[in-house]
Amino acid sequence: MKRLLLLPLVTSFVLGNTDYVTVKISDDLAYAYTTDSGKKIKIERIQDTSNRLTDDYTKTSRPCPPFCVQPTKIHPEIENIAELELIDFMENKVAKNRGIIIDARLKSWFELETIPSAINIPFPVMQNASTKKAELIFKILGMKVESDGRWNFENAKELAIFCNGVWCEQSAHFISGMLKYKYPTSKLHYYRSGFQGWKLLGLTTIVHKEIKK
Amino acid sequence: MLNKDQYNQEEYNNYYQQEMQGAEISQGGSGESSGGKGAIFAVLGLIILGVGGYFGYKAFSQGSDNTTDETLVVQHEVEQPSASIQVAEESQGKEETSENSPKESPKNTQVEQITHSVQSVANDNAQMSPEEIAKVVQMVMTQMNKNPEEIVKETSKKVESDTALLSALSDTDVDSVKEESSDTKNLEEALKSIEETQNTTVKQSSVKVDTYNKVNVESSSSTDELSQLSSQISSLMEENDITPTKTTSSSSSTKSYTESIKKEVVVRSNEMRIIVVKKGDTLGKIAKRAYGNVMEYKKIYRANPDMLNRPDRIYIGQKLRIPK
Repeated sequence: MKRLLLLPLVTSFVLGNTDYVTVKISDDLAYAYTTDSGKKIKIERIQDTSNRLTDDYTKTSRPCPPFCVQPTKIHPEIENIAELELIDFMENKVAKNRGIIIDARLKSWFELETIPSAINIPFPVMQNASTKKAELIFKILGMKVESDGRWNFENAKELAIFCNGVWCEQSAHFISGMLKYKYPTSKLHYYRSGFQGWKLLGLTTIVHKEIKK
Repeated sequence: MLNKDQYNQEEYNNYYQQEMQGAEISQGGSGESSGGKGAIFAVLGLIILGVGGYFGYKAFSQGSDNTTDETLVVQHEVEQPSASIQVAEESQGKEETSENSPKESPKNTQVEQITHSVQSVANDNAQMSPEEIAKVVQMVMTQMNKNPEEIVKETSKKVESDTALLSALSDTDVDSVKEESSDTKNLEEALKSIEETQNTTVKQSSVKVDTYNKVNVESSSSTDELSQLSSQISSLMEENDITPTKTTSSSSSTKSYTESIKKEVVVRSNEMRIIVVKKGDTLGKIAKRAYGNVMEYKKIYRANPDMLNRPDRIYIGQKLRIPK
């Protein structure tokens, strides 16, 4: 009986040896692809099963305020997403230029490490934006100004917004700035687990500026 | 007096009889020889069957030995808490009543234990092979041959281990107990070996992959839409820096929030500072550079458990975390 059970396992291992992934993203997803800075990036999890987070994003306690635990819903009409939805967003929205992943953290955080294909719009930029500035940003994001001056968000891109995680309110500040200028809530998605949640799963990250000494 | 024809007839009859006898003899001989051949074939067949059966049994018993043994062991581990505690209770009870029936306790306990084991094995493995049955019988025989003292010792040992096991199990749920079943255990072992093999193949095949699964990218002048959009936003942000917007009521609170989280950026950048090992580097030299003290190498060593097995073994090109 034991042999019968092991046989297909060993066979599948031998046959699929070339493309075997020990730590998959999900049961039916071993890895995914996206682009960042014109470079094709493979999104996968760290395959070393003994790997553990050490320094960054293992800190349990930061002073609150400002680092307070965020509510589950940032806005009743804004959808919360998790890692699988974010990867799906990359594959189906970002790849087809219909969506953008926004890293709402300060530039210095973004440069240290971020999620692949994310672009950085620091939350103060959006929160403190004037109407003119908001219009410029929204235009870049696909909004059109009608002849009567009305802002048309029909072709505006969907945004998946994240910051550091459940203890970080940078996304909340960014989203409040977006909502101030009536960016449609249906086009906003909040990745609450944020970068810490991404790191915790050992998913691929992007470093724009490596710190060396 | 015989005439020539009669003589010939007799001679013919004799000859015929002789021929017939000869034929019978030769038939008997050929019958014997064919019988001999048949016997040889039968013997050969038996030998082949015997050899085949022997190797087949050996191969099967090697496989089934482990299975049955492991099954039994695991069942002992899993089932013994209730079973052997019953035994313990019974033996305690029998100690109390030992004055009435002093000879009953060890043997009865033994018999009950064996019966229980056999029942449990039979219940769990409804389709037991003859070899497995033989194993069970063998186990029963060995149990029967043991001294009562040994059994008492074993029982007390089992009670101790079962108590420990019970206390451990009390913190776990039923699923985790099920995971200890022999098949799962074997599968886990197989998976582990596969995993180890895979890890080595992964390590061999992807030497260039960063341990931390980080990809370094440089902001290039790429022409794809995302890069262009990113650069447009960046230029807008720079413009924003040059011509700050009007100070609103919320901007002051944002400013204070921004200032407070900027400090955390500094902390974090210190925490995740990474150096690349160069030729001639040692942990001591790196510690001297980073902290001004050679003895701080332990700090670096502790911060890189996944990269360093020994503090005196670092490699050129290795990326090490240097905590603050």
